[in-house]
Amino acid sequence: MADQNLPEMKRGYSRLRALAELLDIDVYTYLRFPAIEFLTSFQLLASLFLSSNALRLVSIGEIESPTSELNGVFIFFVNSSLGLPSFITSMLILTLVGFGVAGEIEKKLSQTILSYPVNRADVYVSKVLTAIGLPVLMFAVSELMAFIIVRPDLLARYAIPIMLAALATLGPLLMFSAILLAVAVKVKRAGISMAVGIAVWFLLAIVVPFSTFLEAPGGPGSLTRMAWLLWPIYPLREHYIAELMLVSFKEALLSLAGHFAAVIALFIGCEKYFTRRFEPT
Amino acid sequence: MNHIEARDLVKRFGKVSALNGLSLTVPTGSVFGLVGPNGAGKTTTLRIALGLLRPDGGSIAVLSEDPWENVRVRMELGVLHEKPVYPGDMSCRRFLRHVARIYGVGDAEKNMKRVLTLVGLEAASERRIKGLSAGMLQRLGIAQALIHEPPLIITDEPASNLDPIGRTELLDLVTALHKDHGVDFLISSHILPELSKVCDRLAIIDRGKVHAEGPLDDLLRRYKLNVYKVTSSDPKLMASALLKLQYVEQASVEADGALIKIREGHEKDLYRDVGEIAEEIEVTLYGVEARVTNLEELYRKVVKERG
Repeated sequence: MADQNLPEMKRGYSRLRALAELLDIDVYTYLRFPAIEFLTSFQLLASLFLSSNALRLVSIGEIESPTSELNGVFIFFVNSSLGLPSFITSMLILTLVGFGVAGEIEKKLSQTILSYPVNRADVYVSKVLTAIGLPVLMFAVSELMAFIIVRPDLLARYAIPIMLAALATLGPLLMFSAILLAVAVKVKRAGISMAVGIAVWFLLAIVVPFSTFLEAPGGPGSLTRMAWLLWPIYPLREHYIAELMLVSFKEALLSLAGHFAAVIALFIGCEKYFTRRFEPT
Repeated sequence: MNHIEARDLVKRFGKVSALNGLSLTVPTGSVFGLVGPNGAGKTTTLRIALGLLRPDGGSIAVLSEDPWENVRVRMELGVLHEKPVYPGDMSCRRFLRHVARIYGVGDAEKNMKRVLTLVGLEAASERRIKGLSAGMLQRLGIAQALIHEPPLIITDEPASNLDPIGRTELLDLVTALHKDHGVDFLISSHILPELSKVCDRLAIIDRGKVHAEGPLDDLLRRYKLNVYKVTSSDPKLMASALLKLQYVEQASVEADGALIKIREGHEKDLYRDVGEIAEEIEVTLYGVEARVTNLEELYRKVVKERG
């Protein structure tokens, strides 16, 4: 400005600082007491409860063997992936993305933010980290906590199956989040995003049981195997649980890799749309 | 150097054409008014200038850069949207601190205090944004637009949510910022009287096209509104004397001059006769200038003539 009486301004624009500010704004806006604290506690308790019913059982069972221990591990992860902890995390993501991100676009707060010198990719990263990254991280940490508290010895003994199973439980949450985020950015309406998110969550939940039911007499067929791309914990369980052993390690690993390839493609596609085509309302 | 140069901008939303080849130049050193009815394309033009929308055709350069491609263009712009939305749970101070840091403003606290004082919002700085009145929210909007001392502030219908007092205060603030601090403005509005108070240049836009553009006085002359303000030592006497001229249709008295409307084609006659009349009635003549009394009239005339 022309006025010499105004204080001298030192311009120190930094993309990293702008991203840090965006993250700060998003965390402050989305994650407010008591919702996040309550849900986190509930989630952790649920995971611990599950762990005490799966992990502890194998430790006091009549026969403590590698097979029964792995059974316990996979019962834990399947319960974790399909049960209450996953449900709570999904609902939290649904709220943060469907209500938070889409609501922000609908209310025109996104327009305000994008009017500042911020990179669109950074805005996207901030939303992903806040609305998706934090809930998924909480989920992962609570799973890890369950192991550390109840059976820390299993972590070392079955490191690879546990790591793969943990990834397989996180994957569907990330896939659901990516689909929801794409819908939120495209439709720009909180209500519609929430409705579509609930429908997507329901469809994802029933796809494996439904395909298994259709192919029940002959065991897992091509339909079920395709559905495993959405829920890679199933082929891992089929591989590691001794009584089943219907799936080779390679196939289980390919299902997991295919699943994550789809998740990454969804996130990248959404990022491309947001940075190149998205126009705030 | 121009702040903004737009050429043949086209923007469609589905089947609706918002801009149909709009061309516009916003020069430096001006308070530029973008005037038109609702749906004329004003907001779309501003949002393209801010890099929020991508035009379907044509080109736009803001400070010689494409605003869609170059984020740093927005370093040089302050923005006040129509019905501004900010994080409601934050205090004004916290929000302004974030904005200052995004812009990379040195000594954010000091500058924050400066702009809060400038817009008269210091006492409410710890209040949550969602608890602010419409006028206070508009002031916060100006504060966040000013915090990085931009050369140009873009505002969309800045006074539309304000009561008459708030509107006057806001317009006074715009005038003061331009005169005292050298901040230029691009203001879109459909409330014409407010533009006539603050703008020195104007573009009249309708159905996605600019129909007339230029300094306000030029536009008035070009479109022959034929309204003039004659300032003199005795406006009342001057008004009554001028009303006797055949080509003067109306005459009224303002605080510092006589406002007259003349018939088309008599501009030269007026400049010739007014001096003689002043001598005749022994009144000191200070000046004669084209005057906006009714911007609506100018707007109607432009749109009617162009299409």
